[in-house]
Order: sequence, then structure tokens, then C-alpha cells
Amino acid sequence: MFDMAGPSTSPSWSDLPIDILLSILQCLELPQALAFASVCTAWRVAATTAGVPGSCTPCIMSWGNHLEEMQLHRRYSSAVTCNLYHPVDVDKSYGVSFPKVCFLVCCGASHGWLILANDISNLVLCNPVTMAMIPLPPVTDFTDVKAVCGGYHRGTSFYEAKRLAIWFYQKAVLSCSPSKDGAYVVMVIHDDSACISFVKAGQSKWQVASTLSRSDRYLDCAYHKGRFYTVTLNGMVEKWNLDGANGPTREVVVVARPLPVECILARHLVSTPWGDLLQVRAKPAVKYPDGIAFEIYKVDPDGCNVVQENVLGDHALFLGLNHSACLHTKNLPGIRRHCIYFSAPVITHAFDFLLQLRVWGGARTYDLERRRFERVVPFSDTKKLVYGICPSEVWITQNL
Amino acid sequence: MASAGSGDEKAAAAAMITLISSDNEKFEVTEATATLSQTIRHMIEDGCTDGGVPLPNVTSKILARVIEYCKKHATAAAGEEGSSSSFSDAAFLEVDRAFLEELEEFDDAFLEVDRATLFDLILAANYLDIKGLLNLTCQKVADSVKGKTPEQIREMYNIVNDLTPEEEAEIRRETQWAFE
Repeated sequence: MFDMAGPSTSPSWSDLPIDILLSILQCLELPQALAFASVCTAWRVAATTAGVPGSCTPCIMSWGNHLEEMQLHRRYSSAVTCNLYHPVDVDKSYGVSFPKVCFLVCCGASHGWLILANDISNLVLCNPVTMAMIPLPPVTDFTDVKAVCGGYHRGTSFYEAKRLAIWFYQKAVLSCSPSKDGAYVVMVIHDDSACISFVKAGQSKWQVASTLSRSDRYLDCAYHKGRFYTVTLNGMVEKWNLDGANGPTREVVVVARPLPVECILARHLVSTPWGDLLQVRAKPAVKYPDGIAFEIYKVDPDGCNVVQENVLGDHALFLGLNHSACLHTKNLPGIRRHCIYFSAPVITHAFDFLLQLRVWGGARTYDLERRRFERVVPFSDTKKLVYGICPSEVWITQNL
Repeated sequence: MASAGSGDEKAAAAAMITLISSDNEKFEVTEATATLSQTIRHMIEDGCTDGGVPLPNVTSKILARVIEYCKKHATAAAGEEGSSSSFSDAAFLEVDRAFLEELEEFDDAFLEVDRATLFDLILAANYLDIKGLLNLTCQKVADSVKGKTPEQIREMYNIVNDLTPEEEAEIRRETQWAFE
């Protein structure tokens, strides 16, 4: 009798009402949502409406349940689910689940890839969309780190295997996407920001490039015109040649000029599309609305020179734990020119000072013309900021 | 009447609604079952269900399945309500869990349908505004595309790729970082 209903005309899944497509999208994590967006026009429109991050658009990754797991349970049992947000529309988010063992700490994000530390504190490159993983050489390569039963000895201290990474790595940067031709180099700032080490694709050992004296520390590194550059708290900029036959060599581009420690909150090196290397400095500024000023310098062979205020033109900067990016806003709907999209890392050297600031921590934008943080991304919760444990969100950007 | 003392409550529980499918088949259901659909709930509230509720967008085949779903979930909801007053907390939780497990099993079995039926169920759930059924069916579609490439999804759902070469190039450019 029911067959009287007649054959349903061959249903067209591309004609589903957009509400329904949106409901389906809600059940998908990012990798599937991207595939969904590539099926046909109607599905693509739905994905755009749902805010599936177009891969060119920078998005911010927050740590979802990661923080709670770290702080409350410390059991590391289930998968870690992080959330990707579009910086313009933070009500929309996409989940990305990582197998627990591969992700205890995030140490950086470059060219769409994340640099994560796994449950035995070894670094792993991870593509958050495909979940492709590339293991990097083990932490035991580094001087002073020795595997012992249940964990590691670092110098004379014992660390649980999974917890060493929290303290050991400060930031890692990739020279290029590992998916393109594979000839990538990873540079990592580690050991209380005193050391930088690197490894090239296919190599099985970390090589230490530099160890600083106690009075200085590395704050950032960037890949610019085929070379890595590093900047220290005291303002020294070094250019690295990692290809030399006798190991890495360096050239000091800008000499150190020590300032009182709390005068510098952050330094970032940014390679720009027009070929300059910029240094962006955050410092306390009592007269500014939020108490913080950003200054932009150009790194030249003859030192660091202040640049004109409009140096960024139609570009925006993305700074944080990720590799610093300078992107043209033309193709990035909603991203504002002449702004710094800033995700504050935990800055150990000025931690006490930061706690007094109302506005530090989390992800936000800084308008260079109005000299203030304009928009607090609502999911950032500075109350959860626990020294050394709370990872800051990272910006995931492509340099296409 | 002898049964007049049973009160309004019983009368309401027993109230029957007639649903009429697009192919003119009539289905008698209790109000509790019918009101899982927000669309029908509103019609009842507005008092326009006398003489049956015509559902021109739903075939009898699909309506029968939808009613099957609503009956089960309405019973479960009623059972849950009833149990809350007559059991201790622990016993209540026990019953609660049993209900949930049974419902889950029912839902899994309910979704064992071909793609055409799934498609019609989604449209019906959307039209009748049955939130649980819509979530359930959308989740089923979402689960089915997991781990699939766009081409595999098209094949599975018989979708024609109507993207222009330009759009395809744009998508490739946008996603190459992710999929290379």
C-alpha cells in the first residue's frame, strides 16, 4: 500500500534547503567541512554561510577542552578538540580533534601547519586539516636532556615525560610548508629561551645553533629571503646561515642594546611581501589607552630604523606564538588593514608586569592608528592564564 | 457518563489527531505523538486540526516512518516524566539510562535506510519541525561523509559537480595547503 506514494523523484542532495545543509555542517569538523565545501555550488554557498574558514583566511585556533584537561584531570585520556575561529566572526567555530598522544603543547604554527609536542615531549609537525603528521627528532637530542625511567632528566631536575615540553620549548617556526617540496627547516627556541636549534627535512638530529648568556634570551625567529633571523630581548638581531660546511654560522645584523627588562613586552620579526624584514616591538606606554604601544622598525644592515606610520599600507600583521605573518587584506574579507592581530604569548620575563595589565592575554586586534586594542575576542579568558601552562591561541595563516 | 470522573487529563492524553499524507492516506496518532512536530503543535494550538491535518509535502511511506519515530520518542518522554515521581533518585537514574539506551538502539535501527529515504526523512523532519529527527538524520549524513573526498561524496549522493573551472581552481588554491 505504501508504494502508492509513488517513486520519489530521484532526490537531489544539492537542492536541500540551506538550513538543512547548515545543520549537516554543524556536525562536521574542519577537514570534512572543507571537503563538503568543494562538492557543488549549493554546498559551497552553505559552507561559506556557515563560516567554514576558507583556507586563505587566517583563523585563530583556541584550545577548546585542552586547558581543562591539562589543569583539572591531567589524565590525558581522550582526544584533544581545539576550535578554529574566523577572527571576524568569532561566533562560528570549527572543531579539530587531535589524537591525544600527539598534542600536549603547541609550540608554533607556520604555513598552515602546527608544531606540537607529543606525550613524550617530542616535536611533531601536524596539518590540522589532513591530520598528516611528521615526527621531528627526539627531545633527547638536546644537550642536558636524558631519558630516565618515567621521564627525563634535564640537568639535575626530573620531569615527567609528557610535562617536559611545557617548560622546554618556547617557539618553533617552519621555513616553508612541508607539503610543498619537503625542503623545510624547523627552528626552535628552547631551554628558557636561551638556545636555538634547527633540523632540516630528513635529518635525524637537532643541531644547536646558539646558546645565549644568561642576561639575554630569544624572543622570536623568522624566515626571510632564504635565511632564518632571530631577535633577542635586548634587541640583537642575528642572521643565520645553516648551510655552511662547518655547521651554522651567524651574522649580527643589529647589536644588543640592553634596556630595563620591563621595557620590552614582546619582539616579533616579520618578513613582508615587499621584501622588508620588520621588527615589531610591544612596550608599556602609560599614556596610551590600554597601556601598551606597538612600534615597528625596519631591520637594515645598518641597524633598526623606525619606519613611517603607514608602512603596513593595506596589510595586516598576525603575531603570536605562530610565525609572524604580514598579509594583504585585499583578499581577506573582514580583516582590517593597518591592524595587528595579536595573540599574546605568555611572556616570562615580564610576567608580574603583565598581571597588572587589564588587557594582556588572549587574542585581540590592535589598531595602529588609534593605538589601542579594539576588539577583544570573547573566547579568550585571561583568568585561565596559568603561568607556563596556559598556551596562547595561535593564528593559522597561509603564505600563498 | 460513567467515565466522566476520569478528568480532563485522561481525555487530553487520549485525544487523537488525524494526519493526511500527500497521497491521501490517513494516520491516527495521539496528540502526544503528533506534538513532537512543532508544526503540528502550532496547528493544534491554533485549533485547526479538525478534519485532519493535511501534509502535502510528506508521502505515506515517509509519514509512516516519521510517526514510528515520534511514537517511540513520545513514549520515552512520557515514561521518563512518569518515573520521576515514583522512584528514588538511584532507581530513576537507572530507568533513565535504560530508556536512553533503548532509544539509542531504536535510533540506530531507524536510520538503516537507503539514501533516498534518508533524504525524504530529512525534508519531512525539516517541514514538520521535529528537532530530534532532524538532528538525527543530519548527523547520519555528516557521519557518512567523514573521511571522504569531494568526488567520493558526489558519487555517494549522486550530486552533479556544477562548479565552474574557475571556482574549482579557486578551491584548489584555497585548499592546497591542506590537501597536498
